[in-house]
Amino acid sequence: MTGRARQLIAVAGLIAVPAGAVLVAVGFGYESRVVLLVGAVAVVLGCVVGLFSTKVPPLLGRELAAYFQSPIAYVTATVFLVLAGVFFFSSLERYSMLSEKGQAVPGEVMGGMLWPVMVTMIFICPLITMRLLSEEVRSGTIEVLMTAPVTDFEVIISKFLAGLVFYAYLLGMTLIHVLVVWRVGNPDYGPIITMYLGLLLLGAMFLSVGLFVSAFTRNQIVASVVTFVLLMILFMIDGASGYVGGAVKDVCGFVSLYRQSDTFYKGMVDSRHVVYSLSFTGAMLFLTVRAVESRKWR
Amino acid sequence: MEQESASRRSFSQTLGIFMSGAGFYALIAGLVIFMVQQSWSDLGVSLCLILGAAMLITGALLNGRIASAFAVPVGLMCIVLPHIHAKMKFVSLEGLVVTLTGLVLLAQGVAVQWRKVSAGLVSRRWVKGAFTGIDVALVLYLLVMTNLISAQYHGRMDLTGAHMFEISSKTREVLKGLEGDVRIVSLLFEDDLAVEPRQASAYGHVAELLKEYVLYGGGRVQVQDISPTDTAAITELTKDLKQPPKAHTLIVIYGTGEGVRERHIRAGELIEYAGGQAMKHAGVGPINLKAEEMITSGIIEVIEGGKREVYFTTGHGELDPGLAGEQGISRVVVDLRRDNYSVRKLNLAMKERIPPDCATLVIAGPRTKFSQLEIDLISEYLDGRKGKLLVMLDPVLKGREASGLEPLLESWGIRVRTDAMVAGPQFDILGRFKNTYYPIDFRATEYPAARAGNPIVSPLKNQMTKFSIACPVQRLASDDAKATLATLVSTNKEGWGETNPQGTRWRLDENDVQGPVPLVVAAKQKDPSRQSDYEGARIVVFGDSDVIMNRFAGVANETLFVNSVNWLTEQEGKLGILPKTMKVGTISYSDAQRVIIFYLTVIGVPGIALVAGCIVYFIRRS
Repeated sequence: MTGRARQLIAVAGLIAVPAGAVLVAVGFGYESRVVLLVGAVAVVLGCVVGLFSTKVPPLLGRELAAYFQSPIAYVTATVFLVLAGVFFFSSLERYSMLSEKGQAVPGEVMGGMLWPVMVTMIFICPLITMRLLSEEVRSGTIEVLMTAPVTDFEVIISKFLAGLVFYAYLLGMTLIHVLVVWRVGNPDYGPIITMYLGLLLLGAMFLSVGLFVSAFTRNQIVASVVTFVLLMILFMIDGASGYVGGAVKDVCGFVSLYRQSDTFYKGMVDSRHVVYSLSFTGAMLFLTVRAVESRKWR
Repeated sequence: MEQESASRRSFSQTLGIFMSGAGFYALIAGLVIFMVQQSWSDLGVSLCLILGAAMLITGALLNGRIASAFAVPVGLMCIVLPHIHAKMKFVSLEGLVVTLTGLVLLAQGVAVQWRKVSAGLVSRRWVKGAFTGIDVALVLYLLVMTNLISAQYHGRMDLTGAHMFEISSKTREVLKGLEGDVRIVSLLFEDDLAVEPRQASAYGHVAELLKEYVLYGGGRVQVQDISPTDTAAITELTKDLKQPPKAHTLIVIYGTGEGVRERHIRAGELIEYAGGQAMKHAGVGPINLKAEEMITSGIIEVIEGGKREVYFTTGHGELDPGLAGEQGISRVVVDLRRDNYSVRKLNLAMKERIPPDCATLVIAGPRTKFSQLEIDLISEYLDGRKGKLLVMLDPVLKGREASGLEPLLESWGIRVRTDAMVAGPQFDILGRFKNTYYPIDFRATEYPAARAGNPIVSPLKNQMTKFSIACPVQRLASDDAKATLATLVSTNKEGWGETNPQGTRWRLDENDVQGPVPLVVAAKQKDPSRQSDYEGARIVVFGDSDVIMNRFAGVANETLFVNSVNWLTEQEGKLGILPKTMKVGTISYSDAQRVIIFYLTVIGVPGIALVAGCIVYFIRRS
């Protein structure tokens, strides 16, 4: 790609992202779903297009290849999908029993599965991210990467996106379960959509934490365990709000991923939660870039 | 040549110094004016700030080093100001804009000066470390600020099929008009094992709904969840209230101390089994969520304080407001009480006049004739006191006689054809008696006045009302009528009014009333002097009294009735919050399908991942 084309693409991305963000805000303010959707698509497309002006695509390809060539990915996927399948089947059985009694709530048909899936992701995400940077540090390839003509930002973004693609692949496999539900029942699709959206946002947060931790250690086990503990704290901090009062309680409630997931679970999209996930993920990625960069002068 | 460019450079640098200085002073002036005026809308403030920023930027472009020297103090000031100044809230859009400007200025200033610092004195490692530290602190600061702002200016979007969590525009109006603080205490426990799953889910819905009240309450609505184990909080709450709090209730509180007004809403009032009592005992069927209606009317009640009187006439075999059971009307009476009405009985024969506090007079299905004295009382109430009347008449069949109210209603332009009975092909159930077919229950989904935005029936769009043994209510067309009329409910085109209901065969003939047959008609007195906000008499006439019986639970009959009473008493603002139905989820699969689902989800899907993994593994090995 020529430099000129690169620049043009970058400019297009730079225009699309804020324009899309404005549309999202307007759509939310005026409760117009069409505007909101168009805005969201513009932001995502702008980001994707913008990334094409950088060296992220080839790096992302390299990372993804590394993922899908390693047996760990398939072991992780198998374990996850068996768990998800068991959750789904038992939740479906319970739901069908309630349905016979006339007590089933249409929105909760997938909730019985996706809720435990979310908890499972607290265990799975550290496995996805543990090797991302630690592996490079341990094998010494990080030096090659750091001296290559790519910026630290591009390296981190492509590693994060690779993790996100793998995460989305795991989540995407569970869409088969939605097909099953569609075939045998009359679900309320709103909560299903918001639950998947919530899981994606949550996954992005989990992965960014994992990536950040992975930048500090060359030991993969340490990286995954520390990540797991941090995610657990983030998830469960709501429980602490029972023992404290005032502002601390509010902050705990806001930060808690449990509280946040609950809203998505019920079929709502709250702008606070979307902003929280995205800003948190962005800040984590930034800190990761700084952490990696610090290797150069420490 | 070189000299020329050098002099041009020195000129631009001098200009840069000038511009930066002017910009700096303009910014300071803007901030000072703001401190004095305490308002951002002031023209001087915005002019100073915009001009100042523009000049500083131009100055920076012309002479980076000098501008950066100015930028550092301005930046610092901008960062500190929003956090110490009382008028400008710490968390606000303006605060963020000023802070961000400050950050940009500071960063720019520091970046330009940085080369000097790094050149000598301090080791590169320390400088890098310090800057990374500042960087990280800034990003964390931005993270916190972004989320504080988003917590203040947030919105929600409801993607559930029935829009379970969206509050209606009516409630928003009520919340917008709040002048005092309203506190809502929830003693509903979502995780309570004693309640069945859908009821627990309904509690969860109520909790989400309450968030919406806070969102639109503009800081006037506080919601507090109290758990049953939290004895300290419950003791505290008991002190604030006149009535002791109970578990499974929602309490709307207004005012404090002696003047406290409270409304306790029981969990049973928030939800309702759409299938009626039988369904409730079985714990099945769809649930109607009436939480919004209850909470909003609770808020209105605690704010208004007083109650309004609705009188039901007695003495002519009318429906008794105290009667429960399938044939009773206790449900609409409860509905009226929830809307802050008090329901009373009135025997007109014993009175010299209709009580002065009468907000609406209801005559529900009289079976015997009203005396002339009583009719005169009603007539005087309507004409002399601009009264509000709701009449429900039935076809005159065996065991009934004409009410005698017909001439009075005709004087208002409404003719009730009690000699006819509504018939048509849309009837669900036909009763059979001595070879005569009676249409028992039939649906009415035509609301002609809804198109014109009539407040009684507009909220009923796509809802069904059910009538039973009804008579047509015709509008008499005349130009000099004293009231404007609106047909609220009618049958569809196929319906007709059978004038020979006792006959053995029902057929539309020339004597019959042609369809669509109007069933409910509203009349509003015309203003003789054509003033805009004229408050005249109002009448609503139903061609059927059975509609408000308890057996019609689950259709929109109650809403139709309560909306009518609200319209009669000019309570239009309170209208139309319909309960939301939590549908029953259905799912069904055969045993064979169950096996397929099991193998597909628990073994098949993971199997694909496993096989793919094996293939990759062997390819890599070979």
